[in-house]
Amino acid sequence: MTKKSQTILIVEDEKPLIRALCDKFRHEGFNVLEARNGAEGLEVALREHPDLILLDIIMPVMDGVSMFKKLREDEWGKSVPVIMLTNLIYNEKIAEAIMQGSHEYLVKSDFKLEDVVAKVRERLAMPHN
Amino acid sequence: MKIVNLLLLLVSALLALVIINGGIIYYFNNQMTSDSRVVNYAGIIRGATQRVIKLELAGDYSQADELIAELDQIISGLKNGDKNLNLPQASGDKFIAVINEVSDTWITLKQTLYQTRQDSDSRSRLVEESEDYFYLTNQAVGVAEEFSRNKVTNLKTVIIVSSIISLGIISAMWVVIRRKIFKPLINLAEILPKIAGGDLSQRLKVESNDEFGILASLFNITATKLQQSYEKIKEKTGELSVKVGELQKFQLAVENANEHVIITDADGNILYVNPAAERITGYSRRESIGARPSLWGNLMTKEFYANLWRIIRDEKKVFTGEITNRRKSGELYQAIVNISPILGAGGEVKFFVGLERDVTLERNIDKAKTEFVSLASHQLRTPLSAINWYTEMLLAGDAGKINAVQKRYLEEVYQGGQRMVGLVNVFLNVSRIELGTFVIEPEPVNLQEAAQIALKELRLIIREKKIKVTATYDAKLPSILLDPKLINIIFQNLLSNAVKYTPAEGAVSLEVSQDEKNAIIRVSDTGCGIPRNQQAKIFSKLFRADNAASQETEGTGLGLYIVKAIIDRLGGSIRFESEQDKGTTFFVTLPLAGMAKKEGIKTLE
Repeated sequence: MTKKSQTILIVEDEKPLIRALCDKFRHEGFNVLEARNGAEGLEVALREHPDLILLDIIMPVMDGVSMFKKLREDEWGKSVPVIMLTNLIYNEKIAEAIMQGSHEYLVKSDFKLEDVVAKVRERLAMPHN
Repeated sequence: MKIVNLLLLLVSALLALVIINGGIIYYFNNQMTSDSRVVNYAGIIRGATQRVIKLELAGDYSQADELIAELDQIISGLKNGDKNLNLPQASGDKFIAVINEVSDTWITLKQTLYQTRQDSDSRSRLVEESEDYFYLTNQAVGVAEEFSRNKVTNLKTVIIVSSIISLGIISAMWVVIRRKIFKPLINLAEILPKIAGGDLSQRLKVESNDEFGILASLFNITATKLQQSYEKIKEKTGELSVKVGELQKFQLAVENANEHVIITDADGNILYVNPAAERITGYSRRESIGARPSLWGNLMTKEFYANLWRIIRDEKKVFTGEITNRRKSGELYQAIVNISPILGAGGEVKFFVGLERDVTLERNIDKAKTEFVSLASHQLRTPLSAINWYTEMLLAGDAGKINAVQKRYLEEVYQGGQRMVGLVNVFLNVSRIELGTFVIEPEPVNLQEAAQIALKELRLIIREKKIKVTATYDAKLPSILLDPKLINIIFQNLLSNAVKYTPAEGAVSLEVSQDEKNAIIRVSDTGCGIPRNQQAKIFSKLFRADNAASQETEGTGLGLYIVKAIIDRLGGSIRFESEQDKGTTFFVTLPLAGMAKKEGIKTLE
C-alpha cells in the first residue's frame, strides 16, 4: 500500500459537522476535500477522484442519493468507495437502493468520530470491487 | 221477601179482594133479586087471591082453579122454594112463621072456597077468612120487605167493612209497593244518571234482601269496580305521562348530543340518526335511514369489520375502537366508535346503538405534537453530533495534550452529550411509534445472541454495582423472524431497568425459554420493586414510579412504553410481578411464528 496520504471527499451541508469531520480526518493524516451539497460534491468527485467519499443524504440542491446514482453512472465513479452518513433512513426504497451500491451507512449521531475513522480505514484497506 | 213472591202475593191479594168483593156483590145482588121476587110473589098472592075470590063469586070455577093452582105453586114455592119460580126456601124465622101461617090460612081458605062452591052459605066465612088471609099476606109482604131491608142493611155493612178492608189492604199494598219497588226504582233513576254522567263515587242504598237489594248491591260492586278501574287507568296514564316525559328527555338528549348517535336493526340497517350524526357524516337523515353505516365507512380492513361484527353480534358485547371513516364530502376523519347491542326479552339482538366521537381534531393535534417532537428531536441531532465529536477529539488529544482535570471535565461534557443523544433517540422512537411510521424489517433473530449483545452493553455498570447476573437459554430455541433492532430495544430496556433499579450486590436473572406457541423471556431482579398502587400505570407514557424517580434521576418514563408498543406490534405480550423493596420480574412472550414485514418510513433507533 502506498504511503501517500489518501484523499477523502466529505459531502455534508451542516457546517459544524463538516468542520468536525474535516478536523478529525486532517488530524488523522488524510487529505480532505469538502463539498456542501450533492451538485458540488459530484463536481469535486469527478474532478479530483478521491479515494473515498463520505456522503450525507439530506442536502439542498442535490441530495445524497441522487448524487450517488449519478456518481455510479460515471466510469470512475461506479467503483469509488462511498460511505453514507445520515441521521436516519428516510424510507425503505432509498435504503435499498443505497444498500445495493453503497458500502456502508452510518448514523451520525450514534457513532463516535473514531468509529467513522476506523470504518474509513477499513474500507480503504479492502480491495475495490 | 223476594219481589217475585211479593208481587205474587199482591196479585193474589188483589184477586182475592176482587173475588171476595165480587162475591159479596154477587151474593148481594142475588139476595136482592130473590128478595124482591119474594116480595113480588108475596104481593101477587094477595092480588091473585082477590081475583080468585072474585072468580069464585062469579062462578068462574075453571079460571079460579087455574089461579088456585098457581097460588098453590107460589105459596109452596115461597115456603119451600121453587126452581121454576126462582124462589128460595123461606128463610128468617119471622118470615117462615108468616109464610107458614099464610100457607095454613091458604089451605083453610081453599077448603072454604071449595065449600063455597057447594054451599053458598060459606061465602060469609070466605070473606072473613079472606080478610085474615089478606092481612097475613100483607104481613108476609111486610115481613118479606122488612127482612129484605135488614138484609140490605147487613149487606151494606158487610160491603162497607169489606170496602174499608179492601182499601186498607190496597193501601198497605200500595205502601209496600212504594217501599219495595218504587223507592228502589226511584233511587236507581236518581243515582244512575249521576254515575252515567261520570260521578263514580255514587252508590245505591241497599235496604232490602230482595231482588232490588241484590240488584243494588251488584250495581254498587260494579260501580266500585268501575271506579277502581278508572283510578288505575288514571294512575297508569299518569305513569305513562311521566315515562313519556322521561323518554322525551332522552330523545331531546340524543337529538341535541354532540356525539353521533345512530340506531340500526339487527342486520345493520339504519333506523335513526341524530343531528350530530348528520353533521359528522355529512349524510342527511333521509339519505341515512334505510342505508347501512358502510355508507360512510368501509375503509378499515376486512378483519376489523369481521372482528367488530363478531363482538357485537355473536358475543353480544359492546365494541369500542378507533375507526377511520369518510364524510359525504370525501373528507376522511378519525372517530372513536362504541357499538352496543340491544337485546330483546329472549336474549336475541334487536337493535344496535352506535356512538361515534369525531376525534379527528384531537388526533390531528396529537399528530402535530408528535411531529413536532420528531422534528425537534431530529434537529437536535446535528448540534449533538458536533458537541460529541469535538469533545471526542479533545479527549483524544487531537487538539493537544490535556491534563487530568481537563480530561475529567471533558468526560463530564461527553457523558452529558451521550445522555442527550439517548434522550433524542427515545423521543424519536416514541414519536415514530405514535405516528405509526416506524419500519419493521424481520430477519431470523437468535434471541440468545440479542440478549447477550444487550448484556454486553451493560457490562460496565454491572461490574461497578457488583450485580450478580445469571442468564439461562433454551438451547433448542429456534431463530425467529423478528426485527433485530426492536428486539435489542426490548432486551436493552428490560435489562437496564433491572440493573439500574437493583442496589449494589443485588441479583439479576435472565431466562429465555419457549412453549408450543411462544418464546418466553423472563427478566427478574432483586431491586426496589414497583409499588402496588402504581403498577397499573407502569406502561404509560412518561410514567415513573415514585421510588424509582427518587432513587435514580435518569430515566424518562418512556422505556416501558416503547417496549410495550413494540411487543404489541410484534403480536406478543408483556406482564410483570413486583413487590416493593423485594424485586420485580417481567415476562415477555413473542410468537414463534415471527413478525410480518412492515413498511414504514423510519426505523426505531
